Amino acid sequence: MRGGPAPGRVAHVATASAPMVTNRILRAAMLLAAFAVALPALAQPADGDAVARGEYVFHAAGCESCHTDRKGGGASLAGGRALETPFGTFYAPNITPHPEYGIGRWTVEDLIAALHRGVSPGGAHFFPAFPYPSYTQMSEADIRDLWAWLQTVEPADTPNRAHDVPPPFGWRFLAGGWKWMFFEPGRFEPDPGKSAQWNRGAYLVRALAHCGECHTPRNFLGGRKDDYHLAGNPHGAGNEPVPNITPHDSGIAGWSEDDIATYLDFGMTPDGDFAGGAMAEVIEHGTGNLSDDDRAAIAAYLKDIPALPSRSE
Amino acid sequence: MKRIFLFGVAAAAALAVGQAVLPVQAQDAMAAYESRHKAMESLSGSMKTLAAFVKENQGSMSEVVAAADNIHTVAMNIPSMFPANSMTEKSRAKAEIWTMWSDFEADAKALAEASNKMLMAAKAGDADAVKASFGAVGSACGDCHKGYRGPKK
Repeated sequence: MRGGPAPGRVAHVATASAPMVTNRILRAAMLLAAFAVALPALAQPADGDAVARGEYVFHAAGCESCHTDRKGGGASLAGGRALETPFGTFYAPNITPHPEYGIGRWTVEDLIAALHRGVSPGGAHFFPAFPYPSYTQMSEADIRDLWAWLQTVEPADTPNRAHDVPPPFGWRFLAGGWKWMFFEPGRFEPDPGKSAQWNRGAYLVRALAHCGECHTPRNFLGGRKDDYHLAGNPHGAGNEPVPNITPHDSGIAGWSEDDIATYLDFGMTPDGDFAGGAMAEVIEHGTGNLSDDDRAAIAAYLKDIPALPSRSE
Repeated sequence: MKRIFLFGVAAAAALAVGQAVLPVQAQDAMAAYESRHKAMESLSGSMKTLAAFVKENQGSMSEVVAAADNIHTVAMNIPSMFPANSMTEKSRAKAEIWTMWSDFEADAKALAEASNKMLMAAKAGDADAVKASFGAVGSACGDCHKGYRGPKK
């Protein structure tokens, strides 16, 4: 309590001694107030709408599931969650705006390069455990919005954990060769012969929600076999089988569009069962946060893709 | 004489307790698996009834009461359905059930509480309250499956 005179006393002294000074103080205060109001706007050029849209993109793209170590009680988006694959265990990195441990020194162009081309700001190739083979189809506008929202995340000083991937898959320079063989960069192209709803669903499934990264089978080098789009993967993450979600009898032919939308909303299957495992996380952090229209669009698209028998290997 | 009798009673009691905590044998594991599998299937049947009521106004309130009652009864018994060493070849139960037992029990309790709320609403004939309580019951199912149920075999 020592030191600071009461505010009333300061005001009294000022008015009593010199009205001119009061005036100046008042003006200075007003200027300061105006500056204080202007400051946050200067520090954060992104508008509020972009942040809100970016948060939606964040949910639709399912970033949370891999980039937050929920089991280990890690901070949001601070990385560290293990992704077990047939090639080894990958640990998703910290994507909070921390300058040292996160992506605080990245620019929006860096994020675009990472998602569209799978390269880091230093020019290194990302392993395709990071689903850029899907994210490459994202619109640049969505990435810019996502970037705006990422700036609002609390920076976390959690260091990245090294991947535990034995050779040769752990050799990063080979990821370049992998990309040359299996990675096709390019934005999503709407099909003019289909409805707007179908195209929105296709964009969500193929680009943002990256469904094919788990539901489409892979070859022995981990390349996605897109001829078998969403026909199921007997060896998914955690070596768990991932079901066929094409409208085939061995897939989800028996599900209506409404059944699919309900499942994506809160995890209930048509026979009253509830999702578990990785899909429960996808629903909780991803599809459960989408609009009803977007879930309906995903359902419409899934009911219209080629019906393929489940893959046994 | 009295002491011998007391000792006999104590020994018998100890033996009975010991029997109860002994790991169940393989056939007991099979029985445990089958009974909980049936119970889980009855849960999905009840959820189907409830979803039809909540989403499409199908079915009567007495059916809702029965479904909510079944979920509540099963939920109260979930911990006892998973005795130690009751894994079978067909079981989708994850080992984490037993390594994180108190957490697993808490998940079962969450389902018991959510379904009890729904049961109260249904018994009072309050359709809006039944609908409002449905989401929590579904989340409780999903929360437990997330950590403790493995993929289809």
